[in-house]
Amino acid sequence: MKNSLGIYFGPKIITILESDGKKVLNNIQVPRASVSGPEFEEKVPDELKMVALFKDALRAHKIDSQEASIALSGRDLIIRTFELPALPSEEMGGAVMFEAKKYIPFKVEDLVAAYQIQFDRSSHKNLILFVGIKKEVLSKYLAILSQLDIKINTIEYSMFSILRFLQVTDLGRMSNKGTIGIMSMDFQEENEVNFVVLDNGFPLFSRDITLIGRPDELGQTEKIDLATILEKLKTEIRISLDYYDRKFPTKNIEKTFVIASEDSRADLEALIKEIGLAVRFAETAPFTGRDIAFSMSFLKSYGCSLAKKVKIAPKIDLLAARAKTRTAKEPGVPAPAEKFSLASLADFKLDSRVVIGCILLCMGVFGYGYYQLQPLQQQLNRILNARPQVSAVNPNIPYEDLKGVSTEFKKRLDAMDSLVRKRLYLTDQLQIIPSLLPDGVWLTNFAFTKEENKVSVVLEGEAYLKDGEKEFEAVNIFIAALRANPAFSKYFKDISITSIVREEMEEVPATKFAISCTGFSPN
Amino acid sequence: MIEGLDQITKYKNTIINVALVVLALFLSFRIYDAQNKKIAALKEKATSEEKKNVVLEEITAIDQKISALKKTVNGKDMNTSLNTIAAVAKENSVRIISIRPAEQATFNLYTKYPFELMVSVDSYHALGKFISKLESHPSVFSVDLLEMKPQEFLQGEKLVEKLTVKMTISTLLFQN
Repeated sequence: MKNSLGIYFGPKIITILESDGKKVLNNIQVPRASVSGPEFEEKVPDELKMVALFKDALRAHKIDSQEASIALSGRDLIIRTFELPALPSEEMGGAVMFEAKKYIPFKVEDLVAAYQIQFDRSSHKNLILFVGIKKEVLSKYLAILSQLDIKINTIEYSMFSILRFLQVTDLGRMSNKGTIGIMSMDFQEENEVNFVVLDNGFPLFSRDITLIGRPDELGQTEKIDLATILEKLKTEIRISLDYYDRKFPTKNIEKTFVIASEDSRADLEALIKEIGLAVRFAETAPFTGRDIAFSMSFLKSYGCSLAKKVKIAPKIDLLAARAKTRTAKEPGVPAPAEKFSLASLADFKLDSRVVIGCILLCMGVFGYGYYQLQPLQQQLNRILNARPQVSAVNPNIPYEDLKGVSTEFKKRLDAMDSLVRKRLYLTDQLQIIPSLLPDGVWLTNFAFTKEENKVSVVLEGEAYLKDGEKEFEAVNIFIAALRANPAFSKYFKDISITSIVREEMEEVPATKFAISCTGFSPN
Repeated sequence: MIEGLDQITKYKNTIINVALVVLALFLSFRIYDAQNKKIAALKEKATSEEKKNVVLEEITAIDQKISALKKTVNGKDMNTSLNTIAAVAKENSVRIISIRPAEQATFNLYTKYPFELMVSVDSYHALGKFISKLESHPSVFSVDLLEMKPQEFLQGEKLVEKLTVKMTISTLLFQN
């Protein structure tokens, strides 16, 4: 894992801090006075002096990080918050720049500026956080880092670095909820107090209060009377709160978090309580350690070094704004914006509600399907359990094949049934034939054969009625009776006379006949 | 280009979250679709298995009938059949002149066991009763051949007319 470098360009001290996670590895403090001190030639620009100093310091501490985040003092930046009505997104950029002009004492074109919008539901207005830096100032810092071969990740307002630092302290969670005032001050090191009011983490108001004289005078002031400083601070806080209350009358400050040295806390607590604000101090000792005295520039550079690891609500990126400004001026120039965009794209944040919603959606759909599947599975199990077992049949064969097996079984049963119950009963025929004989006709021979399913009966007989014609007629009546009898003709379809002759029998003339009956039996 | 990239950067969280929702919707649709197909397949299988059960019940009923039929018909052997024929003949005053088993014939479903008989009987009526008894016997006998001729015999001093009958009676055993 790469170490993170945070550089804070304070009004009095420049601090370079290397950290690994939340652990401070190296901490270098370079007084601004040493840059413009007598040991350097007056004609050498400050930037070159600074580069030389930095190189020596980095080499001495064996710091070889190639990337850094930069925190700048409020005096290098323009920080404003204002309100705008709800506007279409394409008009918002123009409206912000137009409004910003009212608060800036020089041309907006000379600035590299970025802004962040927060919609305020109570007032139905957009809150705008506007941060700008003079192009020449920004170029100066970029040039220094460029000569050190250090790539800049972010450039941010040092108070935002303090907010980042606050996130890793015991007050971290509380600072993101409600309307909170945050003050940071180091009377030994800096001539200013940073005061910011956050509403759910978004800055509503920000001010750098200069304690004595002009902002650049602290370094030259020999001795500062603490009582005078506190009196001045009280007045400035009151002025700031008056302004804040006029601008945001409904957003009362609920708590005030203060980052200050241990020895000044008692005085500050009394002062802030006197103003009428509740106060809590952030514990800084676990981060500075025993060896390092309380130093606001240390905390700012430390907070700045956490830029990639700790997220805060203000997301102003001056580097992106600079790239955008340059590309707009030089159309057709391939800007570093794409690289920047890809890097910034990696810094996305998934909404936990969306993630949970998506998981619930997928689980819900799966659960609904599972809920529908269960009774069907149970029904199928019931059907399979109720399956009759037939040893000769495989129940797993397809339905159509099973139908075929069933048909085979039926045919087999029918065939067996025919053999047993539907066979030709000769008894019936033996009863029928004599009953159909007319008077004067009798049988002399009877022959029945059955081969396979072919059946035949040969009837031989005689007729005696003393009249040849009557005898012939009687034989014909017998044949007709056989044909007409349903029980006989059911099996014997073909009934014909094979011979009929009238001849003398024992000296009496009579008619002899033979009848053939053929047909089929069921088996 | 830069404007577009800036817009993407500006709305990256919204874009990522919307993409996640779209992905979740897509996954949900795939899950829904797959489970719908599974439900349809399960319904179809249940219907098919139910129909198969109906057919299997039919087969079971038929199989039981076949088994019952086999049990009735196959409960005999050659000796039992000969004894049955002799007993029925005696019962109906039919005198067996000769009886011998003929060559058996095997078919797909059954094997036929024929017996060739020569009998003498006093009357046509007695012959009819004998045949009727055999044909209604549970062991299943059927007449394949019957030739009868009246013949006169001298009984003492009296000339008596009797029927001489050549018969082939067969029984069957179902194949297992």
